[in-house]
Amino acid sequence: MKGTLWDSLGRSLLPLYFVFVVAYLVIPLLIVVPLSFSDTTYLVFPPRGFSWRWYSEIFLNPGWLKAFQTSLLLGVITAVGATGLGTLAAMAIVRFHRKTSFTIGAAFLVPQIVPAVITALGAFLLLNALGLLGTFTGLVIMHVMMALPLVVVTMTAALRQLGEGLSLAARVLGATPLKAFIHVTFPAVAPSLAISAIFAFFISFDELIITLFISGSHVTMPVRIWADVKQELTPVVPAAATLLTLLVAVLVVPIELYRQRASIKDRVKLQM
Amino acid sequence: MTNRSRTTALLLAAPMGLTIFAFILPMVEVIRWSFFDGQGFTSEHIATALTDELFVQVLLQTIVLSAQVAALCVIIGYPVAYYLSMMSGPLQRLCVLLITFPLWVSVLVRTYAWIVVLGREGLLNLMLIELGIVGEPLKLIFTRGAVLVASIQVLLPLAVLIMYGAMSQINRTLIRAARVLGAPPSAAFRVIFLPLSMNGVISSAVLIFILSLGFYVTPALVGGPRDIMISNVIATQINQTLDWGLGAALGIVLLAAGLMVAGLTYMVLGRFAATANDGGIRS
Repeated sequence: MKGTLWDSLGRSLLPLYFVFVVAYLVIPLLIVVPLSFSDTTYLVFPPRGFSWRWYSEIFLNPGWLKAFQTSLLLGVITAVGATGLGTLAAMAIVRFHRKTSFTIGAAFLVPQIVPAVITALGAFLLLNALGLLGTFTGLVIMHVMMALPLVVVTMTAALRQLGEGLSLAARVLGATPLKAFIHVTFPAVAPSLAISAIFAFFISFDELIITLFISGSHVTMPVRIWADVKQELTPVVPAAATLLTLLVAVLVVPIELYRQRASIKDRVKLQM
Repeated sequence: MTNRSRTTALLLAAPMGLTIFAFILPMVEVIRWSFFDGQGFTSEHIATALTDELFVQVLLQTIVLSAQVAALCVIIGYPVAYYLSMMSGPLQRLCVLLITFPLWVSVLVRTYAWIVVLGREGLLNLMLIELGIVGEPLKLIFTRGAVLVASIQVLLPLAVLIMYGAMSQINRTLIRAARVLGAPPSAAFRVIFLPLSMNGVISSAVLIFILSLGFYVTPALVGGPRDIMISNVIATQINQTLDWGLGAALGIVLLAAGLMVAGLTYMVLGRFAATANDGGIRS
């Protein structure tokens, strides 16, 4: 009866174990929230008092505000650039036969599996040689490159699912390739385009290591937090951390729910 | 060139161009700086990276820590992925979301949270003292253990999602068939489910290992001075010591070590994996 014992043991312990692991993953994210409302100028647990002062610090202090704006601008440009280029790549990838298609798709993923510090180092050396080190252009180029793989994966899946049938039908009925794309393919993959853009935005918005190596005087939100974490321990970092987590909650949760409904496969994303 | 392949090439030109410029060329630069200086070819940087006692020690430490993170992520994550793959409906969607959500929160924010939890006057010490378990605060932060706990928290969701992806493709009819033929659930799991899920296990172990090799934020924030990883050393070479050649050589050594360990993992663990050819994957 060993089997049944294990079976019932697993059935009762597994949910408990799951709750435990989720707590390990989620609780640290929630812990910074009460700290961010602390009225003290130093970090203390449990937090004392209640104030919004650290949030106003972020939006009123020129340094923090500038960092926030730089990150937003960089994130939006990256989102547009990576979604555009990634969609072009995906459109090419689905045109190949199975094996070639797989190989080319995989080639676009290689940057994701190289440790970020090596890419950062290479970017530093290359941009330095070209005189682009510390420029906003250099940042944009590297961020778009980092966001590209995820867009390629998402859009390839979307275009594959759609198939060529509809766009071919439009062509047979007399539409030019461009018209077929604008009126048929584009509306059909619009949700995936939106998802790609938001993912790309977050990859850029969270990027630290490469940015740290090449940004020069362009301080982004993560770079600013990084500097603050190491220097001062006021509740301004918990406030920034809470804002970033909130942004993820607002933008990513609806997408994940939508994606799960749309398809069970192709969910695993490559990040970091 | 046919019309169709010309269109394909046009579509690929811009994204390929970007990847070549922003990824391939930087890699070439890393190689160039490692092996060449003003005078020409030199093996000096690589030799220093491979023989200097400090660098070798940090490199080994990085590999050991990454292997520990990868192994623990897979071991902790496997039952979670299994549990997710057994669910269905809205509950499954909610549970997958609970795992996915932390993945999207910045690594910096997640590591910072561990400073708050593990700090000398942090949450955990506060609770332990409050409960009378310890008299004075334990040294939790700035230790190797803190780096492990924080790194695993950062990478575990990814390990779970990869294994879950592999598991949800397993053909459950096979397990039912084994049960009908008299196998107890544990045997059905061991003989059928485990080998079929092995590909997911290997993929996630290798990916987590490679990503851990590049960890920079976590050791710097919650590790002690002796827990630095190779990334931190490379950053120092670039920003402070200004020895770019040595920094590049350390990068090359890290990449080579990572590829070797990943290859070995595939060779050793790959033998235990059943594949789609065996008919176990739903098509």
